[in-house]
Amino acid sequence: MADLLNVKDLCVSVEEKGILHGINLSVKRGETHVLMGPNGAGKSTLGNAIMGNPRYTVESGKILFEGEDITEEAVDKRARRGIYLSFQNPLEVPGVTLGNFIRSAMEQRSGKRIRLWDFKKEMKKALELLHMDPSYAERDLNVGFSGGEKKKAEILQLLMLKPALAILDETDSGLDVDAVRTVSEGVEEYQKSMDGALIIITHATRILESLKVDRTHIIVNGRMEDEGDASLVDRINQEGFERYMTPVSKV
Amino acid sequence: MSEERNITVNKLPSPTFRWLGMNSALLPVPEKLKEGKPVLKDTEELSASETDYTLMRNIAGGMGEELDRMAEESGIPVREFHIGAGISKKDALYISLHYGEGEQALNLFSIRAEEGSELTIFMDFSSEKAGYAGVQTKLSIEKGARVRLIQVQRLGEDFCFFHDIGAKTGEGAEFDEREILLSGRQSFHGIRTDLSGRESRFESAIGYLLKKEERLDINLIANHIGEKTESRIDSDGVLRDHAFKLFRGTIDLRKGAKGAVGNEMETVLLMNDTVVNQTVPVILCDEEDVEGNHGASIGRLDEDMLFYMQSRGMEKEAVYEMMADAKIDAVINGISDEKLREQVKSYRRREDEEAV
Amino acid sequence: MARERTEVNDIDRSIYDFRYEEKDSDFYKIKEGLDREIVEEISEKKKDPAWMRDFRLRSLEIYNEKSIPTWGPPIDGLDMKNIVTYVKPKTKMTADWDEVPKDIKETFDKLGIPQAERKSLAGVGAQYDSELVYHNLQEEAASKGVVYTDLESALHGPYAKMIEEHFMHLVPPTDHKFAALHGAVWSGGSFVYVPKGVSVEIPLQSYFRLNAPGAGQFEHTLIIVDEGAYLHFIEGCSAPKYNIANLHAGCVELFVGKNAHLRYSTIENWSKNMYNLNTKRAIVAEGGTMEWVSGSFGSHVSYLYPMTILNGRGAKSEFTGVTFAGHGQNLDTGAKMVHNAEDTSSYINTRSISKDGGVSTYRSSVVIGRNAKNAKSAVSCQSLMLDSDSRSDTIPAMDVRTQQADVGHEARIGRISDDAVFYLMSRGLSEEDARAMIVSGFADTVSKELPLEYAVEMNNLIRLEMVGAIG
Repeated sequence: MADLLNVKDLCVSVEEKGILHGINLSVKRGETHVLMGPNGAGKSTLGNAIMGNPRYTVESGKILFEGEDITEEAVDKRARRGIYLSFQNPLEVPGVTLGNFIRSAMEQRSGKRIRLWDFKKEMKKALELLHMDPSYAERDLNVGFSGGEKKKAEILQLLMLKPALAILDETDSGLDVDAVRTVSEGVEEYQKSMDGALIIITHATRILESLKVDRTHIIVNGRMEDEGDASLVDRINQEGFERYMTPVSKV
Repeated sequence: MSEERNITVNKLPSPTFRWLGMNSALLPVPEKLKEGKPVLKDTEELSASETDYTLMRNIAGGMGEELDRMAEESGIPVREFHIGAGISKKDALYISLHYGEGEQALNLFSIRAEEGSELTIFMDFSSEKAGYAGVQTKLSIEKGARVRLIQVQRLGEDFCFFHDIGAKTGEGAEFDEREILLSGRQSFHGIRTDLSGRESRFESAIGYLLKKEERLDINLIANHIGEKTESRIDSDGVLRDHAFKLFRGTIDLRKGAKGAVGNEMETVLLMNDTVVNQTVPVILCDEEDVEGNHGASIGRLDEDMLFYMQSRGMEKEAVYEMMADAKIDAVINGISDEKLREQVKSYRRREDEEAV
Repeated sequence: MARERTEVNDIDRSIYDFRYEEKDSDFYKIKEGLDREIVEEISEKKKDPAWMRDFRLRSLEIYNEKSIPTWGPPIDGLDMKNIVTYVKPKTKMTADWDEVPKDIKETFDKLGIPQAERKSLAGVGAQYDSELVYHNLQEEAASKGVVYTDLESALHGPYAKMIEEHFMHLVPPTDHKFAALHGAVWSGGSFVYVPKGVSVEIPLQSYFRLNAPGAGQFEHTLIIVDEGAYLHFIEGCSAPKYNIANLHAGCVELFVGKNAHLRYSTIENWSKNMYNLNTKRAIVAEGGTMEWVSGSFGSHVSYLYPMTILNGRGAKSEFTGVTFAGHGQNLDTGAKMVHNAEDTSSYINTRSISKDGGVSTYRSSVVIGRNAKNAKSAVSCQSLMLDSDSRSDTIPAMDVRTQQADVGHEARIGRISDDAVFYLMSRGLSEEDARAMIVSGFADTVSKELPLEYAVEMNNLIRLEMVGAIG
């Protein structure tokens, strides 16, 4: 099967400082990949580069999506191709309700008007799945949301927009046990019923407990240092990143 | 149009460099102005009367003395609404003025809210294509009283309009002022609140959408006179095409206003390279034990915000459109009276939603 | 730490008020007031070229036509009829410190000028009343082709044409009444030229001392930093206190070439009866950088808003300023930024302190023109009120005419927090020390931008101003 996402020898810098140094990564449709690494290793940078954040400059290498080179493509075009990034700190947008925002984004993706009735029905279902009160749809996007509510609102958008690839950047951080469970149920729904591919950037493993993980990648100092199956997650949990950080393993 | 003269209005309380041309504005005044015919609703619990200009003179407005003189000399009667002590009026006093083609109108309103009363006033200004209209509203808000004034401006593309507001607050009184400015060729808005009574509050939220050749000139003044007075000014708008906007916002923390706090925030989203946005946010401070803050953000959308919204698949233009709407909606959403909020929203609702 | 501070406290402000009892015969003084005859006499004394003489007379006409500002602090205490526009010490300008007359030398010695030169400067100019009395450029800088001289000799030297092409082109006499006055009676000041690609590693300094009572100082500073060059120029000003008002209406014109970098630092400590109506302006070409560091402590009334015109793509300007207004002072200071080209950026960061009845006003303008695509501007101004007799106003203006701009503005006015004072006092500081420390910290953003000796001087000034701040 052809790759959904293909990252080739990607080097990325932020404000002229090199962060990623030749990253390779392939994700097939429906696969779940976990990206782990110590703070500042470049995990979020990779997510932002795939999404096309203009603050992150691709110095060399390529990003292919469904076989097409999207390295230079604008962020909204990538989104319409089916890439989704959940933000660590989603922005507050006063005056735009969560519901209107999602509906506008859906209409922009499909280029078609969506009937209010159909939209509301689908929205209600997603809100229920995430144990969110229906009134959230009427609240201004992320305004006054708690940390957990913001993360849930990100997953809500994921379920409504149904991308082919979702990058979850620390979606589980700062959440209590119940909230992690809810978020992870939402992700599971995406994985199963939409055959969605996932790149999960995480420090913790709670979010992974109920998910089927296909590959695990370890990123240290902007380089892929290791790769393995789901069991690598457990090893990291026990041993940490020490072994990747010794001077011997590098240079 | 008949003969016109110009008067100087919207003077910045503390003028600055002359070459900037921001110190004041020239308001055209037609030779003859007639009283506009307002539609009034929900006047029960209020006593309405006709008075002369005496009371109006005691409260200064944001547009200034020359306007007062013009209003007084016009001979147009002052319509006074008076709410008695302790009365909380449930439904908003509704004042609607629809100006006909070529009309040249002036209306003078005096609002007196006695101790502990509560009143919401909704002013709806609309018009045919061209004409001229002015409104002056002076409010005396006594001890513990609370007045909310909401105005919506939707005027014709060749219409010139001004609204001068002056308010004085007693101890613990509150004045909440909200403006939703949607259209009109040339508008002048002056708002001045003298926070005389201790612990009185003034809140102002202005949302505007200017397009084509529209011009908006605002002079907003919060005078902190009493102790522990508070003001909060939020101005949020969108400029496109050849629109011009000048916002003067002054927080004046006078000597003796111990414990006073004034906050002012302005954001302006610019949609074209042909707009002109001028801003003078002033803080005057003559007292140690006070706090004054001001922030402004002018220009394009914040990069992070744009990226966030684009990452959900929206085109840049669509994000800008959405944010432009959002600015006005945020001011509308702040209207606490649900019925009014829905009414104002209905002016802007998308057609397809109404079809569902 | 506390001990060190006590020593600092002992610094005597009287060094600035120090003055010799001079006999009138030691000086050549022009008669008071301002008319054509006086301007012609100055022009003659200075052996002006013909164009300069005409320029002065034209400026005088403009001066007579212009009205005084309708905004800003009152200046009615200033009567031009009583101001002596030109005072010349009976000495020649010299590059040898020993040749400077004894009394003048001692004044500057007290202010630390020659020591500073030996320690950390590439060149020094010292102006006493209307004329430079000492000018020296160290050999290393001179060998790179750097020119640092008094403006009068430059007018007759090889750079005459360059001066004619730049003099008051950036600040034309039509700009405002006091620019016109300057154009008519200017005297003294410096000319600096830094050739292409030359980096002057250590700063140049000029020091202005106005000594004669009732006199005006109208020095003109013209600096041209050519393509890719770097210069740090420091300006210091002081005057003793007299009973008659003095006037300072200097003019600074700075030309920053392509990819060049100029840093201009000022510590102004004029006496507290001085009217300081100074005009400073810089124009920056493509990729160039202009940095202003400005400390305003002295004078009775100040109007001071250094302007930067960002004229080339990617040009940048930063303004960092602190103003301390004490008893009897009305200091109206700030900055002006004009964005005329793409990718230009400006930053204004100021702190104002008002104490003991002093009035400080932050006034600024940021103008982003239609062609200044991708311009960025950020303003942050903070004011501190130390008591209720004082006053602090903030009057910024912004004019934005392109959609592709990011303009941010932040202003804050407040007082020293009681909690902060309590915290420091709980660690054993006296209230006076605690408050002084907080004020120094507040002004730190500027003092850390200054060369060490000046940072120390500025902190001393703050400390001196703070003594007795608690009643």
